[in-house]
Amino acid sequence: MAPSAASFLVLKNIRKSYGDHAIIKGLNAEIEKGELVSFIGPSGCGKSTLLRSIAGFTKLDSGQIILDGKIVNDDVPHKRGTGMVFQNYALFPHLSVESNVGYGLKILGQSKAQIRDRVEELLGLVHLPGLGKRRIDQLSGGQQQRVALARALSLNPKILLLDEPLSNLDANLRVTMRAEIKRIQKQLGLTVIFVTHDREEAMSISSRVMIMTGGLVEQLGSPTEIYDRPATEFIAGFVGHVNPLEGNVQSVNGTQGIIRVSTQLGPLEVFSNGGDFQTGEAVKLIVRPEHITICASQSPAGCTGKAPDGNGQLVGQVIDAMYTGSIVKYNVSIGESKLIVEQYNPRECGVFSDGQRISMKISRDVHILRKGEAA
Amino acid sequence: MDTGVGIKGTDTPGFAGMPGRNSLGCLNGLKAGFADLAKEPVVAITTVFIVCGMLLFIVYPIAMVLIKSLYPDGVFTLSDYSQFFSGGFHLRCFFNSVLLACIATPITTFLAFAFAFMARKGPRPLRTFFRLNAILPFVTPPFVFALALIILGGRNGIISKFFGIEMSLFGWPGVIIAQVLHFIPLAFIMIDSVMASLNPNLDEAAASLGGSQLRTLGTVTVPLCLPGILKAGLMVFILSLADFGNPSLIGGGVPFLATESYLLVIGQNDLGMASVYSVMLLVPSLVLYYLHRYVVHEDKFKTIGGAPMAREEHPVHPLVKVPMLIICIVTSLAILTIFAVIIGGAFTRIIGINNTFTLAHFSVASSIFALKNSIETSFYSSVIGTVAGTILAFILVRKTVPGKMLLEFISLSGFAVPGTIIGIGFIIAFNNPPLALVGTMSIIVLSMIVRTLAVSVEAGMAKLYQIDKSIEEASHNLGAGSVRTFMKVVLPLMFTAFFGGMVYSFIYSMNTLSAVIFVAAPRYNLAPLAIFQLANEGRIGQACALSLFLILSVFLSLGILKAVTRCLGFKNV
Ligand SMILES: Nc1ncnc2c1ncn2[C@@H]1O[C@H](COP(=O)(O)OP(=O)(O)OP(=O)(O)O)[C@@H](O)[C@H]1O
Ligand SMILES: [Mg+2]
Repeated sequence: MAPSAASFLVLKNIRKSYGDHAIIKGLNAEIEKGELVSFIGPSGCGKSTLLRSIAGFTKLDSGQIILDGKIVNDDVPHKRGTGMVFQNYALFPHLSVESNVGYGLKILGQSKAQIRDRVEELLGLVHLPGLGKRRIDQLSGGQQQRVALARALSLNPKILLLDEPLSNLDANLRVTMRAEIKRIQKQLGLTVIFVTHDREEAMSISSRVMIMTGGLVEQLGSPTEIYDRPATEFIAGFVGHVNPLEGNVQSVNGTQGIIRVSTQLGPLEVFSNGGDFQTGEAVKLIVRPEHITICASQSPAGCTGKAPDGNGQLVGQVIDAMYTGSIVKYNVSIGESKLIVEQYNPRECGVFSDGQRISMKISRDVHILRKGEAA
Repeated sequence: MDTGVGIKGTDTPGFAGMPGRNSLGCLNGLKAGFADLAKEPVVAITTVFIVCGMLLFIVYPIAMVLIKSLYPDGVFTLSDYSQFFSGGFHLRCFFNSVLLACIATPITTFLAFAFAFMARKGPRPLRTFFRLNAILPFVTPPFVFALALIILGGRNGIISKFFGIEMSLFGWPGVIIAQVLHFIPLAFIMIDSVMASLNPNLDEAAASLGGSQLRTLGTVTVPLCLPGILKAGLMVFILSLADFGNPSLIGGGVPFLATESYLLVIGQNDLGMASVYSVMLLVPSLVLYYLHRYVVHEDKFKTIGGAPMAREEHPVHPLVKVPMLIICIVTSLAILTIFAVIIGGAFTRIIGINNTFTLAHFSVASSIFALKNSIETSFYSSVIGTVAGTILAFILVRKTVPGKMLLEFISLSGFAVPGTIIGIGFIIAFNNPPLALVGTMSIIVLSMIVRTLAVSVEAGMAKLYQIDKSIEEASHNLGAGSVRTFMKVVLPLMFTAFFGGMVYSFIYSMNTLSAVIFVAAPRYNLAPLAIFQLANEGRIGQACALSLFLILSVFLSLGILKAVTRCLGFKNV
């Protein structure tokens, strides 16, 4: 499988082990120019290792890193055109802000005036104009982050690599800084790889998210793809709440793209989304809390709770309700099963209280996974 | 998660009470200090006790030296000083001493840096070898290096014999080589500890910005190690200035302040002029020490951001690696040669001349006796000194006491005060009743404590600055008083510093010569002293044998100390 030559960064069959411990196990991925891609995955899955091998700090066992059409595997870090922001910023504590940002320019042999102008420009870009003379330890965490960013951008890198750049900042600052990174990325048309632990962070700023597990790419896609069409149940759970529903395909209505699945909640009709499902096949439905809408309260009489006709109508009982203003989160029991339901805009039909019976409807938009994929 | 704006200062006590406070503030501070002390009687009593001890055994003897230099015979006169400065012999001693320190310091510091660098980034199999070699000289008395150099490079030394060349290491070359080799451990430890705290990502950041390794070394590594390098340089300078054993054994008649002041006391009983010499030794040391500690910011650069990540290493560029490797290997071989010569000297009749095997040198009763005394006094002094030092550190860091700055300065003065002065001060101060201590075991122990107290105080203070105060506050909050908190919370946390201080003090005391040579009487001999005398009398074999015994007993005692503390339940030592 030849990766398309057009991609800006191609990672081809990358392998890396420490001792006999394989960390990256033949990873393939492609990143386009101008994208902001987040790497996200459980701790120890190899995100930093991958990033550092792109930067040239870690030598690969095999595979190719092709950046802008050139294989850079054997290039030294500063010849690759990568700028790196470290988790701990790695600012030179004995140098001023100015000298930190201008460090690489000085090595390039630029004149004092050139360096001064460029440093001032970079500091302006990261909104720290005039702070050039400060010592690093006279800066706040957020300011240090900005300096690190300016320094990484100083040599006009083709690609900016950020390893958990925001993890040392407090919650509010993280939100500000990720917006800043996004702004700078847009302003310069930069290609950025952003390693993070924070799902919300990844989903909110990335053009695409790469989910890694065990040294391999589990899925690389836009945030909506990842959320709405997760490749595996793991990913589905990784990026949000799921009510997994196991079932079997009862019938397939090819013309409408609708399939009928029997579940423990009764038969449900869902969109197949182009998936080629066979009658009898075991599947798993990924029901997000917002896939369920609450229709009305329901009198307790004569309710089995099962959906009678496959239209997604269910009756259940509220176990508890958590009101957060714009959303109400319910835990609902339907017979033996429990569902998490989120109701947006609670003003429309009010907040239901514990023990109350409600009727609900499951949207046909739920994602459907084959049993094999769901593993 | 660490919020990351920097790890707490790991070094250098605060600057509370620095000059610049007005006198009113000072007075208020004093009042507050006394008031705080009154609330905690045990702390107050301990403080008073330790302060009295320091006044009596540090300040008083040094003051006596100053007084003696001005009142040599009970009458005020500057004649000794004017004689000293009138040129000629006295001034030559001074310039020789300073010149020696100026030569030995940069060489030692450079070698120590190379060792520290190579012990971290050199070829893997050699790292431990370098580390051990850089520490090894510490286990012997300094002048053992001179002794070995005499055997090797004296007029009839092995080298002359073997290569048939006329050469002599006596004089400057010998003293410099001996000093440099012996001071490497101290400088190494200081530089290494700073290097250990460097964030490895800094190298990578420099590399990704195009910094070559040489450039990174020059613009990142060395500047960041500068606090350690400066400190190492300072200590080496002071030690070299005050070194007594090496110049007197291999100095070949070149006069230095420390050696001549000994001769003035022992040979001519001229305590007045000896005191002037001591003052001249003390002044540059104190000035440098003060400058270093309070003017030059000695703060280690704080690691900014979160915990640095240890990652795989990047190979060192040959341009950096090869020269450093050569330097380290040559130096290591030199150090090992010294030890080999001592071992050889101990087991042969007259090494280089009659190389037949013998054990005769080991069977000297007086040597064994001296060794026993050394172990005994070093044990007492290291235990007492470390306990006092730890308590002192705790008081200095955590308690409000009046005159804290001064107290800190005095307790750390051991770093700056040459042993010769302590020795001369002790014989002036404690020669007469009620404190006629000269020649007793206690004066030896005391002099050792005075010399080593600074180490445990500093180690303790550094550790305490790392331990968050909230841990102690939690203990107070649960109803524990100062003493209980100290015993149950602080001491266990400080144990590594405590143990380190104790080990250092013990080894140092086992090997020290410059102070004890004045106060130890023949009836209470010590091992380093005995080795020195034997070497001076030309009984090289016996000197080597006793040196070997001394080295072995240092190792043995360390082993026992370690085992004992293990048994006491301290695991991570
Ligand atoms: N220099 C090294 N030597 C040996 N093992 C290493 C080294 N660096 C990383 N590893 C191992 O490789 C694995 C992947 O590490 P990596 O730092 O890439 O994970 P990560 O996905 O970045 O994790 P986190 O989210 O916690 O930062 C881990 O199991 C780690 O222990
Ligand atoms: Mg990581």
